[in-house]
Amino acid sequence: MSADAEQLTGAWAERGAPDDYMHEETLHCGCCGRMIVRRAWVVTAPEEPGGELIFCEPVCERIYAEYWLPRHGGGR
Amino acid sequence: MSGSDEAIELVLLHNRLTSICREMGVAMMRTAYSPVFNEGFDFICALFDREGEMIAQAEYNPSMLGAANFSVGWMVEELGAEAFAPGDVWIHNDPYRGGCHLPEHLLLKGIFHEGELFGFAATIGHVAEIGGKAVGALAGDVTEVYQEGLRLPPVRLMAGGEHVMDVWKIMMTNHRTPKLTWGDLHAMLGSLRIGEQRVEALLAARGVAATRRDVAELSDRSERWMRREIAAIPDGEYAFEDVMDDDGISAEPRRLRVNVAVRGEELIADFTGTDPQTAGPINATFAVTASGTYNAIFQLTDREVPRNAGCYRPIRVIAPPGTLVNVLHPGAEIGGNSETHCRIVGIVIGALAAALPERVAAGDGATGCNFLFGGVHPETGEFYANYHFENVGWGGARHRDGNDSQCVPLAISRNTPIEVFETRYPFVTVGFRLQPDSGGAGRHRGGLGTERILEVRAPEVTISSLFDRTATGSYGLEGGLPGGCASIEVRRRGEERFRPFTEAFGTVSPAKFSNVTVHAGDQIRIVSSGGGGFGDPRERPLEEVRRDVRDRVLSPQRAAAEYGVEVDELSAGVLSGSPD
Repeated sequence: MSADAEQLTGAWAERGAPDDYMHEETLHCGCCGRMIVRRAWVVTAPEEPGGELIFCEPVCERIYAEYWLPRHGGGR
Repeated sequence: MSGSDEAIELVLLHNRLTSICREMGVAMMRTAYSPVFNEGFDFICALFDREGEMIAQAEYNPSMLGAANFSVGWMVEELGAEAFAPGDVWIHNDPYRGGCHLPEHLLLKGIFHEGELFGFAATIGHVAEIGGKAVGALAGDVTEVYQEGLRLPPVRLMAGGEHVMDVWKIMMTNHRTPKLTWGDLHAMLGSLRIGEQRVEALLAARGVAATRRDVAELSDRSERWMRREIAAIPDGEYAFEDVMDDDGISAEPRRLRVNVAVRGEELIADFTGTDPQTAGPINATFAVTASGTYNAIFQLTDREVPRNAGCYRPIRVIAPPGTLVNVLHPGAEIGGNSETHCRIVGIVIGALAAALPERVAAGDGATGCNFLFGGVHPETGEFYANYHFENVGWGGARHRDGNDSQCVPLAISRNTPIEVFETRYPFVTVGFRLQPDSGGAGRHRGGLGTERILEVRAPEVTISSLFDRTATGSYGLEGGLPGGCASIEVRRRGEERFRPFTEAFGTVSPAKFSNVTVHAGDQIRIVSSGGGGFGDPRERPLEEVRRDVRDRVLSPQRAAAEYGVEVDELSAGVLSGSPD
């Protein structure tokens, strides 16, 4: 399931810190809930807290727009 | 090479890779020390490319489908491919890093050809005893991961082919049965060695570049095949929900909910609306929820779709963090991969019943009936531990009754034979039979659960339990009735009747508890749940009702009440009945 690159606005960025064994907080995909290990697909979203949406991969940006938002009406 | 030659070549490659994984599993079975491996098949063997994408797996425990799909890739991403050197084996069992639950340990070994990393051999195995609050880890009343056992982040177990004894010492010291752990981990290491050797031979024969190209093509073909399967499901949104009895800490039922959205060749299983994560141990990790979803979809689609990374891609899972289907640290999760996994499979299949009525079955028994025990064996003087589970009834379907006494769909585990069980552990099996009336009534009835009665033959044994489906039966479909419930009860020596543990020992939950001590002469009665029925029971042919009564799997009272058939118990002759 490849996401249609032309419709995506995000970019890969380092976000997770899995080797920080002193802290147990984990970062999760804003769509599917999967843990972000190191790389995140980050979408600029000024209306969101922090100004961005973080996904585990590009497909989740598409699913967020096409499924999540129409069904649930906003971020978690 | 012509198109057909290429296709044949790919099929041969797929079969060879799958055979390698099967041989890895045979090595596990034949060399492991614990029945949970060599009788219960509670493991998985798979091969991966150097990015951590699965290229093949054998048909072992489906409860680890998601863990295999995620945890290897996540581990490679976390550590970096450069962390893997020839002869290294990494281990981890962290449920918050892609694992299913704490007892399941991933062992990962790089496969090198002429000094270059080609990919990985991996096994995930359920280690029977990992320390923690209760023997066998599956305690029904733990409230955080630290009570469940020893948690390992990714660390080297072997380096350059040598034991990293610091890690081994930590594990052996924290497990109650270190000899079993030692033996089982070496069975896993042997399995990895088999995988490594066979893939090395494959690469020597057909070259690294050609093999990389072909496994990528296999993965793409698998994805296209799964997309066609999904495209054949009518587009729509299909919702379903079910409840679990309790979380072992309070008596409150917990709700699981799914919306399955089928959109062309893509399927989204959205678990939004599921209850928040609980204090007790029924929380599922993301990998469990993904495993349960894959498990359900694989049951409903062509079984010939090659099981590699490609077939997972069109199936998307949405599991909100901090809920029953995506536990956050330090939430207890030990029962998520036995009890909650079953329900996830069940609600995804239940949701798709409206879209695929010819393919689905009613709900299965949906509990592992996890019964854990341990103590000092009176004959050996050594500590023993065992993880015992029961089969359940499967649901009836449009064209057949449900299977009786079948492993829950989250696994392919065999029941431990009574002879093996009694040889190893201080119990005598007083009775073991199909449980009458446990199959949900229907045009096609649900399969039967079982009843097992064990008598303690040691001065004392410590037991724990983690069951569900004790309050609500497995769902029926199209007018079929729910299956019978599971239970665990005790009859202490000299007592007249079996009693629930809530009454005999004051546990909060009837079937989720830990560290209860029973003594010589006490008996434990385990009843597993039956499958739900499919279709109106009044439409079941008279002869089939009569046969069930004759076979003592249906009582005359239930025949009358649920099927509308009056049957003489002694002769099993039909006196009257509403069906033709």
